[in-house]
Amino acid sequence: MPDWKQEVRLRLAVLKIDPAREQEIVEELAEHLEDRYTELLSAGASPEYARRAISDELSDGDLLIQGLRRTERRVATEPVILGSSRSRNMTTGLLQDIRYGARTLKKSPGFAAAVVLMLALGIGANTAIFSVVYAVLLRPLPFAEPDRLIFLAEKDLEGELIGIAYPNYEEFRERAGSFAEMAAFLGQSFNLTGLEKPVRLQGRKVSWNFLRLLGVAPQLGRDFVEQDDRPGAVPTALISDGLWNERFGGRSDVLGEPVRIDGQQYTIIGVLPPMFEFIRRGDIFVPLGPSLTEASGLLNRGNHFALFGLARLKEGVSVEQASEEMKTLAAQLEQQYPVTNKGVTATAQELKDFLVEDIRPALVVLLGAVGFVLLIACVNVANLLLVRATRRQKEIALRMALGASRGRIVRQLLSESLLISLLGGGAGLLVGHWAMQGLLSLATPNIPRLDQVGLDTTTLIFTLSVSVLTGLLFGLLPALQSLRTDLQATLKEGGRFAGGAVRERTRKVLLVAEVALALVLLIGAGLMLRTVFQLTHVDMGFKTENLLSMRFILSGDAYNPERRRAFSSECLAQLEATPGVESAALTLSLPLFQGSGWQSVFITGDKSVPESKDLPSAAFTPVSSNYFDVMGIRLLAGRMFNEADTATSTPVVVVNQTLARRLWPGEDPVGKRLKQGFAEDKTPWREVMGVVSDVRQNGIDRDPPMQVYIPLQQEPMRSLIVVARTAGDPLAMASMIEERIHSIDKDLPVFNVRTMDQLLDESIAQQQLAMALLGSFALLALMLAAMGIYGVMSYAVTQRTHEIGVRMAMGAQPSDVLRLVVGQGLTLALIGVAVGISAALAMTRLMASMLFGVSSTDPLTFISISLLLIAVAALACYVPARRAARVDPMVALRYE
Amino acid sequence: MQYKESQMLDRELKKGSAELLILSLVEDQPRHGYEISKLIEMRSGGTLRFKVASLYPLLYRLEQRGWVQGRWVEKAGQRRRRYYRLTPAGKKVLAAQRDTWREFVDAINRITGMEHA
Repeated sequence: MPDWKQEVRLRLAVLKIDPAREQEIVEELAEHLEDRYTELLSAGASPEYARRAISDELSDGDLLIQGLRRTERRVATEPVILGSSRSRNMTTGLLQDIRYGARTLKKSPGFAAAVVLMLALGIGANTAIFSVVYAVLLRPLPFAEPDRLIFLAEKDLEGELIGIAYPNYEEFRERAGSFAEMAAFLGQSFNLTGLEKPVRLQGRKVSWNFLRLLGVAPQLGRDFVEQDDRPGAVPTALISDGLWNERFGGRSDVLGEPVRIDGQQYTIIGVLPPMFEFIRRGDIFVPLGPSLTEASGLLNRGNHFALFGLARLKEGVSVEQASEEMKTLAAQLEQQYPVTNKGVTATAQELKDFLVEDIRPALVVLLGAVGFVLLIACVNVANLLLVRATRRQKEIALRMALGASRGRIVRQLLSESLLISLLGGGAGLLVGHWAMQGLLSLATPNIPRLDQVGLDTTTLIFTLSVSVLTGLLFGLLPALQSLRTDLQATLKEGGRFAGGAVRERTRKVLLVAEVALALVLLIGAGLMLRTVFQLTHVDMGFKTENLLSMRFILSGDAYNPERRRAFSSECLAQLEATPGVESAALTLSLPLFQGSGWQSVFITGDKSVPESKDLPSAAFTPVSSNYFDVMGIRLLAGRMFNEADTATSTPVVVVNQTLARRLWPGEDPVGKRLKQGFAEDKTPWREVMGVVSDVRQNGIDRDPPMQVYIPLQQEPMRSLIVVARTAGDPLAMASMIEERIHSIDKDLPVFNVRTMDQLLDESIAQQQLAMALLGSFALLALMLAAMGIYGVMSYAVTQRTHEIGVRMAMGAQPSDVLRLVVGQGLTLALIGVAVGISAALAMTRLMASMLFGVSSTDPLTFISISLLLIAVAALACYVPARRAARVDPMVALRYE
Repeated sequence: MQYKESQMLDRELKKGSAELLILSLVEDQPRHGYEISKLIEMRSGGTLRFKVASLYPLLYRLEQRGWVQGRWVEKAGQRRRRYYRLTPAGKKVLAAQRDTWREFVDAINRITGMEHA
């Protein structure tokens, strides 16, 4: 009899209906055909004829299939056996894999939670740091064609950026062929008076084409034109949106309104657009031209004020070409004006690079650090997956035995990893959001563009890509490993021993890598910790406690030298009479704050004058006579200033120890003469009256420079800083001191009111932030690594329970077992530490610029951190080892 | 010629009446597919024949609509077979279809003048 079932089944195959249902139909129809066959035979038909007739009837053209197609639903069922899917549709396959993965994960919620948590921490930290890196380093500046904007500056002999001497700027503008346009801007603060309270505002003096070059137009009024930018032009000003709203109530009739800036009348001609910011906040912009007078010093080629160039590259010119041209031009100027331009070079760099160059190394190090944290998390997850893969070995072997292809199995396992990593990424976004809030609250305000940090599309894309990459990274190894399964052995032995050796080796290698990564991070954090410690324990050379400082600027023609002298004396008298103020002094610049000083070359009277480029340079600091007492600076030789040092007495100076030692080693400096500026300058010769101890004038992390103090009465400055030593909390005294100053000049804005402790905190805030971040990442890494070691060791112990039982039955003591397990774990940790130290030696060099008082290969840090990590590793091994030591040999031997 | 006409009649009548025929046949007792096809052939004197290719899709459709219900029954000494029986819903449908059919046949008869034939 023909096989009717087979006949029916062949015809139904195209329908792809549910297998169970198909079986039912096959059976029912086969019954029918068999009856019919018997009937035909008994009617006298030949078997061959009957078979053919029935076969025709079965199909009847396409009637059966068409009829069934209407009633039987085609089901895209998951194949009973994964890997034997006949579906060629990639997407359905993927969805299927993900559904399957979700089900497997649901079955082990503990595993899923641990893995998602680890990834969330890793991905979250990366999201937070990336969003900062993106906002600060990568996002284009908000100007027209920002990548063609160039920042121009000059450089001194030491290669430090200095402002461009205005006459040099004019030469550059005339001669440079690399730029379509060039503008100048001069950082400046202004006294704005005539409103309720005088204010000190940051702003810039700019050449008329400055805004046009940036591609920015005022939101109200007009931009500067060439006529505004000439000596003697009617004074005009542009104000920021912020100032307009805060001080002028956002009135549109502000245009044409006169304001008093530095005692002079200006007309407001326009309001800048909201959010406009160039390098830093600026509220007032005025044309540079009217300031170009002999008296301003701007026209002197030897003066390098905070004047810089902004230029737009010509089409097709590269930054490198432009920089080369600037160097060539500077060399020409050096030939042309040897006296003033000796050793001065020029540089051109992309504006954005200039903005971020200070913060870039720190951000790159942090990005690297969070990358490491994520890598460690990946290693941990990969390890957990390997353990899981061992448990699932039988399932996988079964699937392969049933015909699943290797590719199909890998795809399934990878889909599972992707699912995990995407879950981790989702949770990571949350973690990242919180981390970012925390980070922003810690961050210093002097990081450019920090206010633009946020979870935007770019960050989301970053997080998504990191998640996917992470999933592939930690999923690939276990997936490939699972293919090395020996089918027969696995199915026979229940998966207990088969393939174990290779997998265990992989786990150990991963563990070593993890320890090494954690060590690098810990060492980085350790170096930062030592840096901050060193910074907070530096001898500044003066007493910082209860010291209040505030600035004012005696601007305008009214404050001639005579009035300035009088103001200083009056001010000091008022302050000394203020209850709560123990002593007070005036100075041009505070210690620690580089840039507020007045760096100048000088010549000495007793030595031949060297070539101008070899002249020594010192920080010249006019101070009131009691400055040293107030600051706690010690006298080492000679005398300090006193009331007898006046405008008409012999010009004198007090020098610091560094200068005395460097210029007059082994000699008595008292009585020597020096002169600020070049030999031909008409500055007076001054006699050295005394030597005082060093202070860190240029910053906590910089050695004391050579320093020359001048009596304020002999060099009456416009820009002055009050330093007052108070009896109690300095800040509580601030408003009273301010009142005293206003009692002398009610229109004088007083600003930058800070205690020295605040200033100190601010000046090391960046290092502290780096320490806090690196520290938390390192701690996270240490935790993850400890978890990883613990996981691998406790798994190894369960795998070896049988062996340990045998050993103990043969007479091994619990202490032997303890030693065995801990020893094995520690060996791995030690290898990891060795690898980590060599990696750290290479990597910490990247953070050299962030360090202070500690070398990037500091042996103490390297050794103590290694010991710490080894101790943690030992602890992580000890817990599973103790469990192993408590194994009851009888139970162990019966185990499985 | 005659063969062709009978084939045409066969198809047309089947279209309109197949459901009615099957429901009628399982009204009194459950029957399996082969039995149903044999009964139709016998009782129509060979005029109507349902081949396997058209019978079963139709049975499944009726079953899906809930008019008949099939189940496997293994009687002593016999093979396992699937028997279909009329459901209460099927009963109502059968009654309605009978009425419709009767009205239709009456109408045809009146028009073609065949009532006395």
